[in-house]
Amino acid sequence: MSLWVDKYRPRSLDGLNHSKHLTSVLQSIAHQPRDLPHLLLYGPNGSGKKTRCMALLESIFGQGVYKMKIDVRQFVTPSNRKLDLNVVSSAYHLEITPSDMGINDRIVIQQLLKEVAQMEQVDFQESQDGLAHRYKCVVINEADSLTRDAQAALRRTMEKYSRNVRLIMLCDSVSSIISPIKSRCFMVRCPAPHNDETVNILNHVASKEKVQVESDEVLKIIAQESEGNLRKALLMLESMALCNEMQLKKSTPVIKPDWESVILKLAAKIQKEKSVGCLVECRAVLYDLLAHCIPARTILQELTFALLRNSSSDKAKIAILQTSSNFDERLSLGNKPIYHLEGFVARAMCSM
Amino acid sequence: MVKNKPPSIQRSLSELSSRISSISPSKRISQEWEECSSQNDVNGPWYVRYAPRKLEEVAIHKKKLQDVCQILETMLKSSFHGINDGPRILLMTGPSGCSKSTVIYKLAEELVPKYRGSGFQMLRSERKESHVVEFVETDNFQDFLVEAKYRRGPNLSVILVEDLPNIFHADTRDSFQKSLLQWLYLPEVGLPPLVICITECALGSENPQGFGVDHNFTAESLLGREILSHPKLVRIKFNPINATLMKKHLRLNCEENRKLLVRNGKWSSKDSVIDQLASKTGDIRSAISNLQYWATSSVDVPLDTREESLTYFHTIGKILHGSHECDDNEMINQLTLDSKSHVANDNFRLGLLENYNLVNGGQILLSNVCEIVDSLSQSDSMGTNLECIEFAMRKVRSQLASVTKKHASQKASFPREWKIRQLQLEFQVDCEDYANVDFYKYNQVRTKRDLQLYFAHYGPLIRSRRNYKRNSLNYYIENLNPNLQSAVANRNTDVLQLEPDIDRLDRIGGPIKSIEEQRDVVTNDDSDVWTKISLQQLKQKRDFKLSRLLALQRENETDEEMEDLAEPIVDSEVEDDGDSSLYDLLSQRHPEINESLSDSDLEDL
Repeated sequence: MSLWVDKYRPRSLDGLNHSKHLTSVLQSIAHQPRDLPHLLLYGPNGSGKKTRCMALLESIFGQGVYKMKIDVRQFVTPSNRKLDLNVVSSAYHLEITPSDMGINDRIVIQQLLKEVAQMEQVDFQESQDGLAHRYKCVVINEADSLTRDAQAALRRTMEKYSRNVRLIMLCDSVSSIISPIKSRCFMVRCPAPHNDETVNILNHVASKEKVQVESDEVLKIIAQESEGNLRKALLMLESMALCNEMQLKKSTPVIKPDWESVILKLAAKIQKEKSVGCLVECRAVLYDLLAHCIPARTILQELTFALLRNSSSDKAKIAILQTSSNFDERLSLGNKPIYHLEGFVARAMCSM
Repeated sequence: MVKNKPPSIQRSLSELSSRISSISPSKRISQEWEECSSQNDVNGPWYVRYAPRKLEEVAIHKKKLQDVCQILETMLKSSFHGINDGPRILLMTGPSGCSKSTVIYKLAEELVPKYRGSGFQMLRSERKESHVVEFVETDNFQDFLVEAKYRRGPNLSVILVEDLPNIFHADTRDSFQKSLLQWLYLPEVGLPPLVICITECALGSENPQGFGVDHNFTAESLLGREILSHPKLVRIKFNPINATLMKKHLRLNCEENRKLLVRNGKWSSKDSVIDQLASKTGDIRSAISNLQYWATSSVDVPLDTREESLTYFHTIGKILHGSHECDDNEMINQLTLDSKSHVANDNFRLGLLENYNLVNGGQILLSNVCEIVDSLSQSDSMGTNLECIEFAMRKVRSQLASVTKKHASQKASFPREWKIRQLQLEFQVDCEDYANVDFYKYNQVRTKRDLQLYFAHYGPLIRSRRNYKRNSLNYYIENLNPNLQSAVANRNTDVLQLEPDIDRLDRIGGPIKSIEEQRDVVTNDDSDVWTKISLQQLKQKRDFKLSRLLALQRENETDEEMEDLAEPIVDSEVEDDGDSSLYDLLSQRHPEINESLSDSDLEDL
């Protein structure tokens, strides 16, 4: 285990360390593994959806779920194009991420599910009720980025093959999941950890790794900055600890992801200098953020929040929010994000 | 009765046939024909009949002529003296009818004899006294160049490539470019001057994507970046012939045909027609044939000159700066009609976005700019059909119309979008590489989004710190006594686990900075080539690392299996006892199974 995020990731249900009530729900599910429903875990990024999913699988199938391998699977699209896709799988489950397959997700999901469903899982493992759970789990990461098409295809497949396949879907928000799927799933909300929960976890990791923490203040700052994202918080903790000889003081600078600091700087610049020249410089920065594959929507969101934080009058805030939502819509309609990002910056300059 | 008589055009059949021959693909024929016709034939088109006989008569700007002359002369000189000096390829680009090839023919006539070595002419050319050897479409280009190498010394001539092989076929284009590159890198000295004439034009096509040879017939899309940026290639851009020169030449033509004009009663109105032609077109060939048509027909005919085709930057400039000739509405109508290949393309919108700040040296009101970008954004969210782009064009023009121009504008730049796409692809390959390491070495599955947002930055940052620590720790361990060494190593497995040649130590995709503007035109081919090369390298690196990771994993697995092996075999033995009768049956049928079983049994016992 290299990074602390991975090293201290709980691997079983007993180890889960925040949102206690949720853990008990999962334990009750794992208690009767035969009746595992389709699951839909939703909650913000870094709130432990995947960790919980894997812990649940571990409690049902045993340690074997962590023995994973990557297979290259080939799919053929209706237009006869061949598509190679890496599928991560263990003996008991397989994982797919829609963003890997782009617009072909419908075909991939259908073919994959059918394949899994057609094979009866024979399990000779000793368990309390004889030949146990004859199903394989399919974990769909980022289920909210599934196209409508794929979701519609999924709803029939879910019912048809529910004898042999159980789906576990993970997503940030359920708003883009169609209701037929929501109704077929057992929805589990994974809340982000509270700040004091984050601090506790950080404290635990720091003491294990022999990081000298001067006071809890610095951990609180990290918790604050991570905005409930435990992954980000732990990565911050580790990079800060390593950059400061394993000593954390109150004054230790927080290391944010570089793109976030770039966006903050951008926002400050937009507010300070409202000119055409500045707009052109902003375009260069926006382009590089896009070149680093930072999603355009994330850029827009971060930029909006940064501008809101800096602006004082209510009127300006409302104007920023309005333009932001406007350009958010255009982002999803259009196909070149740079127009809309620059359009937002220009409008924001004008309205402030 | 007389009124009803249709207007007759005074041209004979023979004239028509001669026209046809001059349009035929191989120019050489027309050239030969021109030579024999210059004395007595009177029926040819005027632009052939009155083609310049001397260098001074060529319609070209003096300075441009000087440039071409100078370069051609240095090329001939280096061939004559057998030195490897100066350019090897002269590239002339420009619209049609701006005297590109005529200049070369006439210059060659003057210059080649000066540098032609004395001696027996080994290679006989088809025409006497030929100073120019021209490539014909039907030949193999590579063979042509090989042969052309020997056109030196007493056989010295200018090698002219005006007909091109079928460059619309990607492979042919590839081999064409390759042979040109070979020519540029030939180790031999004293090569004859190679001149390439490219008539640039936009080719209309349905639903064009990007910027490639299928839509834009330009030097960039034809030859590619590598050739164009080669130091041994000189490019001279020709402009359409200006009005003054054009008028002079048209007037000369009229003088020659005074009789005919007087007979048709057109002598008096010739000046206005010449003015009209000169203002409308910069294509001398088209202007002269128009003049001839007007002069030879017995009634008044409308003048209909060739449409001007514009370059990509020119079209963008028209939208940004407006046009002096007509009002904005008319100009945009014209553009959407004539330059569809530029305009009906997402690249065009990107170009507007990239360059709007050039108007008036960047001195525009922010509110105007805001409207401009807003309209582009709206237009993008509507789609890529022509109407959406026209909407953006009109809006941009109307916003910029109010700007009073005081400052000079700078050179336009090409959209950066293609560069970004390339960087994104590289980033993705990099990410895959990182994910491979995390999976095979640390057994962690990463989703793309987490990689992009967090691990791309933190992962390498943390590992580079650890690497630093590891180096110092290794040094420390070496200086310890052997007993302590393993203890210290055990305490720091996290740090020592790191391998600098496998783990990523620098930010994936490089640090975030601003992306520079793109000055030159990027064609599809160019970007394809870059993408291929850099992506291939990255992919190779990734695959190499992957194979190493896989090998490592296999080692680990075999270790584990060795440990595991003992138990399952014991298990199976227990089952064996239960089903011994079945196994007896099986062993009777297949004795080899029995053998293999006994083998493993023996080992275990």
